[in-house]
Amino acid sequence: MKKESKIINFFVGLLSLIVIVFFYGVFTSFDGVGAVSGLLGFAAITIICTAGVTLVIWLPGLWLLGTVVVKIFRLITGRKLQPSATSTSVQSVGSTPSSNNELAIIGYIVSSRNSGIMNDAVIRTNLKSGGWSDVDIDNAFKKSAPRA
Amino acid sequence: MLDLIFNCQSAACTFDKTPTTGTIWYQIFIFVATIVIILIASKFKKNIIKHYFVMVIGAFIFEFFTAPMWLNLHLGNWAYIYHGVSWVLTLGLASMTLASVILVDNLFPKLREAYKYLLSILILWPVIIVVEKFVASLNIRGYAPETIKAFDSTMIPAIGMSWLAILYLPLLFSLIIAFYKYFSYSLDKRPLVPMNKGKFGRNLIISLVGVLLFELLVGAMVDNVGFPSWSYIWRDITFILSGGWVLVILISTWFVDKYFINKNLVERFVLYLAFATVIIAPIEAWLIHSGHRVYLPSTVANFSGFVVPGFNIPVEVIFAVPFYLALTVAFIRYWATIFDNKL
Repeated sequence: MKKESKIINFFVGLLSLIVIVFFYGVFTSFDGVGAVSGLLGFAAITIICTAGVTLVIWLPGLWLLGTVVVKIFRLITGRKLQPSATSTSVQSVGSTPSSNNELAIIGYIVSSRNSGIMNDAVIRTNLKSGGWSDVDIDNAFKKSAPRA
Repeated sequence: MLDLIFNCQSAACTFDKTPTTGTIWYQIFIFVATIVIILIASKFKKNIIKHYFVMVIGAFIFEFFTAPMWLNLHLGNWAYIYHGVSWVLTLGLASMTLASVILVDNLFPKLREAYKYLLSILILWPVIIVVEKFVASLNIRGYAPETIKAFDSTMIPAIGMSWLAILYLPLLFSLIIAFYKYFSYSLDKRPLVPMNKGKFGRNLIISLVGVLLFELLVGAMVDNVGFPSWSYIWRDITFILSGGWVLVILISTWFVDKYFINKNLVERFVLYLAFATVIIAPIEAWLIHSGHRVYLPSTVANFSGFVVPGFNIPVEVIFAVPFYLALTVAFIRYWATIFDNKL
């Protein structure tokens, strides 16, 4: 993931948390602003009183929340998900996968081949038992063919 | 350690930590045994330090969040990490669990995963009974009043423990071993089949077992009150609340597996916890405020006094939710994984 995307996700996470706490405050005590200011105060206390140690929880937590919100937004708006940079197992394969499902199948094919304990027939059988169609499996095998 | 940093003066921190000769020797034994187990295990397992680290995390989550149930006395100031939680005892618990798992894995390599899992627990069962009796005889182990009450049942004379306590001990391994095994697949880079269609009925049963195991483990810390009498399964375990947790976990795992299927095992695990926590935290807050979840005195004594703004519940409860879930969700995903992959 690019550095800019991480920063954007972090701020989306921060904004989402504020919105969630605001509405939680509204629904529980009719005081959304009070709940948000309480949250910010709590964050400040935990960060200052621990000399910044709790940033280890806050920063990844907000980034994670932002990532989830962005993903959900993309799902709802119908935008295709880009292949994740974390899926290292498919970085060395042929043409670009077009969906998360395809990424997952290709990842399994590549890691199974790399493990050396399964041939393609066994991999295919396992994928079929996982509920994937022949079309899905064939496409994934094509795209996971190593470059010449 | 953290108690010294934060100058904790509450009853939860001011118990007798003075070491005795016996407790010092016991700690030395734990260190030596840990080193020996790691050295021997490294002959059979790659990345043994990483494997051990995962086991320590699993054991620590259990020790840390069930701490109000136990007293760990006379270990010396150095041995405590927070209140009565001892990192030395956590190392001991992790070492014996890892030894059992690796022993079974190597003695019975062809055995199905489910049987290996059960066999590991069966081996640990008598061992932990002996260890528990031994630490009690050294005056290390004490029990909160709620724990004594929860385990109050017929004594088994030959063992000198109540039958409920004897049954409780293997339960803790059922969650710790599942937690370790789940992450060991990632460490071993074992290829796992991505599932297009989850098996709802099977996952429901696994989730129910996982949640009930967890409810049994923390039964002495919190009471579920005010639910309809017909909903209680055993003591304060209620079908309504446990069913609700099962539902939340099922929805969270289904959602993550469907929309984040390309993520690796660890990333998906974090997402399971994140989703489930977002749903469970406000529910837990509401249950506490409405009087349906009553934390018992020994647990309340462990609270620092800080409350989470908005939720207005102890900060420990909010932090505990994802950690409690970590053990339960790992158990559920471990069993689903071994069934999905016919391991």
